Amino acid sequence: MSKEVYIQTPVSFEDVSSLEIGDIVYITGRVYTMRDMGHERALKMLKNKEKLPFDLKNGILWHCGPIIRQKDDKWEVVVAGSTSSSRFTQLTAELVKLTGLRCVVGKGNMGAEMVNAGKRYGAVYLISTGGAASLYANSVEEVEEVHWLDLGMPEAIWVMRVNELGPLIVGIDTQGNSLTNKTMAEVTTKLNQIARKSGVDLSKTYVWWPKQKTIGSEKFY
Amino acid sequence: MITAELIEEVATKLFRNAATTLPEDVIEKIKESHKNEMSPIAKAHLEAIIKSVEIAKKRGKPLCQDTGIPYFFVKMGLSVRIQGDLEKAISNAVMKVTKELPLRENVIHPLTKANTGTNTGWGVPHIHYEVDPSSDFIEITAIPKGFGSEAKSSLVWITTSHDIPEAITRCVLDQVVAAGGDPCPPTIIGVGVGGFADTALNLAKKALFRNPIGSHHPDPLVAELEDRIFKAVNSTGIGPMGTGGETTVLAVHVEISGSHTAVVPVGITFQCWAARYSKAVIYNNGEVRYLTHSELGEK
Repeated sequence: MSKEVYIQTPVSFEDVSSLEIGDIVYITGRVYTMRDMGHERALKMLKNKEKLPFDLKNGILWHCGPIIRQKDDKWEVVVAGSTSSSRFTQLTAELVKLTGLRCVVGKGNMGAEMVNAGKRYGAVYLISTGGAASLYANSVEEVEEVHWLDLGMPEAIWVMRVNELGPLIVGIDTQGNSLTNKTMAEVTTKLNQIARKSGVDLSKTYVWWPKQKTIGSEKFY
Repeated sequence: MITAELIEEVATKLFRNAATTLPEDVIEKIKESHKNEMSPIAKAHLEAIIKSVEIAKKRGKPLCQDTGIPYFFVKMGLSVRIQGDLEKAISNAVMKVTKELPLRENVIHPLTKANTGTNTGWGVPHIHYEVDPSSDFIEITAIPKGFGSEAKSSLVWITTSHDIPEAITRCVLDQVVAAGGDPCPPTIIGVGVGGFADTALNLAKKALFRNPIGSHHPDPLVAELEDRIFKAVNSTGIGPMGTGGETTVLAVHVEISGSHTAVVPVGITFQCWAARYSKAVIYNNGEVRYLTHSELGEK
């Protein structure tokens, strides 16, 4: 049964190691947004032994490209929600290893590299509700800093102070469990039964083009 | 006669409204699915969705930070006369809403990645025209089409040696399982069957915005297929956001077209739960009726 947990930054190993997949988490403190181009630049710098202009150790990374506007001297968050995290599986896993990041907030599935990194380095992946960007934006109290604005508004690193950002579902815990993998494994075991009920033959090749193994996941063929 | 100024005014209202407010039938469908869910995780997602929809509407802010790429369906009555440039009017509307609301600047050059910052350029906003020879109005549907779901679209070709509804059910089931939580379920599935490659995908896209959501195709054979696919994909247990639950899709809409005797193209598209669109008709005498959002009233 899932439990409700409130976490504050900086996040310790103890904070995340007690989390289990399916727990519902709310975050208070500082989060750093990062998307495709931010990952690319951060990893390039770290590989060149350069120091990042922000410290991710014991921190929280958010796969988020917000809409932000400048009002007087301040940045105002219009809406902020998660982007699909499956694009960043390898990249974020590498960042966890190199920076000591503790929590990653995103949406959808993150693959095996992130499961391994979570277990090895003590980090978790938290699944937000995709599209519920108005709700999450409501938890943002202030934009503290912005880095790499030259990458464009969605791609820049926005440092935000949040108050009870959530609900976030623990998708990957520090024990090597993945909620989406577990869900999809259950789906797979049901597929034969679903196919039979809906009058579909899983052993048949129905499709002429593209060659069938390229549609969807090969596992299902 | 309909002026370009009026079209720009209506398109601005529609596009702004589409980005901030879900059509009433869609939010009702989401609330219905919330009642049916048993798992606390699925319930938490759906509660977050329902709350977020209310906040966005109240604050007049975009519902999702991915405000997509602007897509417009325009159905032209042939007895309508337009004064001025319709495409420029729609383009102006997109630029205005992008700046004022604001929307995220999403449109880039497909090769250089250069961003105009206006959500227009290189053929965007995309306008899909249809002609209606008998009517005296134009119907405009404004869609900020998000790409998490769009990027899960696909096209398959089924040989006619098979039972086609059976084959389609299999293909959609495969796509839904392969997509998992990525297209932000609960989704709407649009399926376009027949015609050419482009026809099938176009019908599939059109099917996504059927109003009201979950209503059936008038052809009972097609309606039966919609039911069959709906039951199959909702029994997977993928659930909201792919973290398990009863509601994987909110609706399945199928559209058809005549097809070749050898192969049938099947376009499969996804729309995330945030099925944002807004529709109006403008009559030749300048009268405007808003069809999806009662709060926009009449003019």
